[in-house]
Amino acid sequence: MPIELLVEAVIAGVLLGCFYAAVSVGLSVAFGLLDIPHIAHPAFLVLGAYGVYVLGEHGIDPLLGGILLIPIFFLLGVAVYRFYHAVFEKRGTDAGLRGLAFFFGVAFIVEVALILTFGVDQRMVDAPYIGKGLALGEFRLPLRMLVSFGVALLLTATLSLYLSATFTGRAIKAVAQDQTALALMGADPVRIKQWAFGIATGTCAIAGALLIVVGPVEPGLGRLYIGRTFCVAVLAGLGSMPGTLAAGIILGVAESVVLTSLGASWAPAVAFGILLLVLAVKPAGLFGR
Amino acid sequence: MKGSTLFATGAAASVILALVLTRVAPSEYFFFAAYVVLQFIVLATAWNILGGYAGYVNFGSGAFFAVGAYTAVVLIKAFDAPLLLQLIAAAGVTGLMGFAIGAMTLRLRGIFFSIATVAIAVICETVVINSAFVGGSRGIAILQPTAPAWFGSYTRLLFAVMALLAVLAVALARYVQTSWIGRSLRRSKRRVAQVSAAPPSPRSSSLRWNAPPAAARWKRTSDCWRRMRDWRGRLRGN
Repeated sequence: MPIELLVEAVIAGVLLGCFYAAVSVGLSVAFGLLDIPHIAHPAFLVLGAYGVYVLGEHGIDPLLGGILLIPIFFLLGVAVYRFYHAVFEKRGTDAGLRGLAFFFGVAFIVEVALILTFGVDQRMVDAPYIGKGLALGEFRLPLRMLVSFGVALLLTATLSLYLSATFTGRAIKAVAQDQTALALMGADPVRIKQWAFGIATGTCAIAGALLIVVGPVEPGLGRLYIGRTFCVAVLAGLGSMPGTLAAGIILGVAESVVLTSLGASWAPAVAFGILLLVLAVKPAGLFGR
Repeated sequence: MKGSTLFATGAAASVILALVLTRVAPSEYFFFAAYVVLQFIVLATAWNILGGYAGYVNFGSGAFFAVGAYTAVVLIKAFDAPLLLQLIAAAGVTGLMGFAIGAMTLRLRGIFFSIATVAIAVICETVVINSAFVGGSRGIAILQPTAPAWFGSYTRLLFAVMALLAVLAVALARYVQTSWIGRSLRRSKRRVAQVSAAPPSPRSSSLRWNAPPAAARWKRTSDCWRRMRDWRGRLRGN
């Protein structure tokens, strides 16, 4: 492969990787910190993208639309967690696998609901930064990727700061370490987890906006992102926000290089291949707690 | 009659019944439908050995099924292999693949194992899609060979073979359940269930949940006593 092509692939990969990090931070909180097998996370992303699309029909900018949707998604997350807790978590050690089946079902319901409402066609939004490019010497960077790159960095940094600097953030990290100890300190682990799951789902609104900014969406798109998001969350080391960013970039660059050298049909295997390799060689991830 | 004798008699009777049916049942559709039912008995029994006895939820069992099918496809395309050779080769290839993947992933617990199996399924699918020899993303269909005269049609032959496979699969599962393998699988399942869903670490193996050896336990207990004696001595001012 010529060196210019490789450099271009790497640059595109870094931009793509930050986008992958943004769509995975929610899962890093839900799966990495709370141990909830949230396989419906990508479905919520697509739901967020469709929410942004509906707002876009009324002339609202996609990113602004994403921000407006955060409270709704937060409440959705709280409701889903309350149900999950009451039905599965309370009842003992098998919650992980039963929960997996539950979230699999939730993902299906979301997908089918989207198909019934919007049909199976691809949807996209309009914004000043979609469709334009930024020429940088020989390279040409799409502006939408740069926007998603910036928002992704901001989102990851905000969450990272929130988790390490605020009281609730530290309580979320504590609930991941030792739930009983947190209860002994007088905090209610269930309420903390409910709050954290709300935040995790809230990020789906912003990440969903990025999803529809980066490319057109369709109801079944979530399934493609199951591998990617879980790959990033596990590679990051479950719950580490800077790790999520690094893991996203690793996946983005790997996918972009494979796309340029081998072709698009090999791309779906990249995320799962890395995931399998990480699980086999270093299950604690790169930045494991 | 002893349990195993009863089982062997039932198994033999089932195979003989299947063979007799190929001679007497008139409808071809019956054999097609029965073949599908028997096939799912084999698949479900295979899943149950890992999922039911050991508690490992495998989402990738379809991938192993497909690898077996594509092994047969390769053999047919390469040198028109007979059915028996296809069966043996497919079992060998998927068995080896299962062994390799098991060595890689079985130390993962619960959901991590399940995610790894999803990964294996997607990787297998991508490899097949990119292999033009076996048809790629278009898939592949082959012409049905002519059946031996005794069976009448190839569907009937497949039905009889699948009946035999189903009986073999159930017998194998029964052996696994009652032998030392089943006992250790159940033990590992109980031990895994006792440990709550913690993130996997390179040192935590679900198949290595044995208690520490007696010497280590004795050392820990005696250390504890020694420390208590030391503290009591210090408190008394010695």
